[in-house]
Amino acid sequence: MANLKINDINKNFGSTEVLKGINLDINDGDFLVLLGPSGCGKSTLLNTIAGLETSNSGEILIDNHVVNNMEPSDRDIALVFQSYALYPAMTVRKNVTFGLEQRKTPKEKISEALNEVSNLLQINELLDRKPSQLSGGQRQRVAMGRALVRHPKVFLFDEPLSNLDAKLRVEMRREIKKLHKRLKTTIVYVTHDQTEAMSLGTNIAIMDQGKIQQCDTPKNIYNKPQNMFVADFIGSPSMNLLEGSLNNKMFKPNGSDNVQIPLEKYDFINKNINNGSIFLGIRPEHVYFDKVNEDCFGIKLKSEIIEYTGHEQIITFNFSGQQFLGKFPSTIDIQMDKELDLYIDLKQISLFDKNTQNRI
Amino acid sequence: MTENNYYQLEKSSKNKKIIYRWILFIILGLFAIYYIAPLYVMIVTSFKTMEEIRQGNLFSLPSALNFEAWDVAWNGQGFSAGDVFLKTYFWNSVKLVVPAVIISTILGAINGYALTKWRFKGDSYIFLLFLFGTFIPYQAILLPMSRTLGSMGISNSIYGLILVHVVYGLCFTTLFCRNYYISISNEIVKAARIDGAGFFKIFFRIILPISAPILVVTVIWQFTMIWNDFLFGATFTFGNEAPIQVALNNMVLTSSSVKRYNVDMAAAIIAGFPTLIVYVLAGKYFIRGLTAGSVKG
Repeated sequence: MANLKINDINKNFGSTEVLKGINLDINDGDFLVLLGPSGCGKSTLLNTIAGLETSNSGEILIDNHVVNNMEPSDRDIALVFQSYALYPAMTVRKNVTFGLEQRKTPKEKISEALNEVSNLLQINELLDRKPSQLSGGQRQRVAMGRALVRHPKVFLFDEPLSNLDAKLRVEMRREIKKLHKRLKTTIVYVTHDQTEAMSLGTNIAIMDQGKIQQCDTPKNIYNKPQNMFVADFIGSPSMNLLEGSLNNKMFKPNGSDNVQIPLEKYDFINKNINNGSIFLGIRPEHVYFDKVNEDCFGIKLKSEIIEYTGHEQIITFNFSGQQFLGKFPSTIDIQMDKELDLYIDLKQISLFDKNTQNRI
Repeated sequence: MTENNYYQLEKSSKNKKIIYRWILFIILGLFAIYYIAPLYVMIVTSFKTMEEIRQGNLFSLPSALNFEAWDVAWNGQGFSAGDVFLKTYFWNSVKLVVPAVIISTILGAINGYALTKWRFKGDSYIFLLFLFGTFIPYQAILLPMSRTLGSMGISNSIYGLILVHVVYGLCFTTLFCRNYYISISNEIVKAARIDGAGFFKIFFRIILPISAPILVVTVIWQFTMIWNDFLFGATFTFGNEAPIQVALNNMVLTSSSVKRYNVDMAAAIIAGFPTLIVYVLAGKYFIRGLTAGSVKG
């Protein structure tokens, strides 16, 4: 177990910059999730930490030692791959112990370690099978066993659940969480699934275009997105972003003449900002039909489209020409093409500058 | 439509299916006969006496199983000068084919593995050169190769011929193996690197055990090419060092007075027999290996 520090990592493939100055500080026992759309560089960052790719500049420190010039096998890390990457010609037993054998571990120690992980992951009955004889979930377990058996300082996961079906994915997610709670190892976990990221991570680093957009706890990521990319990326359906202007702590949405939303209760980062073009962000689940608290702001909007998903329904409203979504329990009856009274919880809003796209 | 109409339609489409089936099998059968006929003629002729050949029909069966022609083809007629027979040359070919096939296959597998799993700068150009190498005709390398063998001091020897076939076959074996290994997940190699295995350890412990389908293909390919080769054998060896195809040619073309068709046929069958065996034993894997990677499994 160890901490992991990433200082100003840059990586180019030819002329394309894949990582642009990544800084991360991961404490001992942290579960950091790298989350981002495909092609954002998260897997490259993970491979760089593992030593499978070399960075063009910057430093990687594991347990306060610079490991830049170390072989992957000398960094004391383990990586669980998306395709599991089990050795097809070897039995499960050989797969798990291959790494220990390469390190010339004594035989008794190997069988001890094998026993420990096979009990932990319940793969005892599978030890003499070949990977082709295992189901997806079982392969996943073996891949984790291969990582766990060496007691590495840092665990790296590269989208380990994305090849499993939906039900198994939820189960394995919970098991990974359990494992982390029990072993308290430092973990870096790459995924593009935000539910996975939210439910697993103690911290989430949102990446886009080779940069870290925000690194924070899941709660802060969700409730206080630092810029419009994070606001839009997290949450399903994503946050409503209403374009408008700020004037004297009042928000006037574009296209409507008579609506003015008071913002005096909003916690501005820079107290001096008083006017300009901004976006007001509000999550669809913070739109209500009733006045749920004192900070609710009432508004009349026309309902246009209904999407029923079983446990909830998503309604598209017309906010003076801008699209505006609301998420409601599926138990209530909502009429379409009608002006309805809605309440927006002003305690839950986020404001972004139109030019910088950053939170204000 | 009425119930009756449906019944009629069903019946007629059933009949159509049967007729098409029959047409298909008849055509296939004709082709099969067309291709097998020469082999049949070779076999029956090899068991006939010269008397029978002169009198009888090409397709008629021999009056008795007469192994004399086979004996002459394999062991010769007993007189020393000018007697060409296959025994020595058959073993020459075995001594040539076995090492040449093994070396070129192993080297091709290592090349393919390096080109796909240990990518380096300019690897695609190197692969392109290999690809280009498969288009080089035999005749083009005769002169440079004989100079090379001469300066190495291994001309007119089995070793020289082994070297020629390994070098010439390397492009093909590399191409085959590279195309197979490219379908194997790179993550397996990454995992093994993290586990602490190096280039050759990963190759021999992890990659080679799952290479059987493509190794069968390269072995069959190389075996057939080298065993059936005439040009390299005729160019780079002479006399007692020659491989079997050269000996077969000498035997058939240099017989002095009378054409001994039965001996020629027996000799041709002997010369072609090993490749036939290889195909019968491993042909199934050959087709499977050739199509491997084209369909993701």
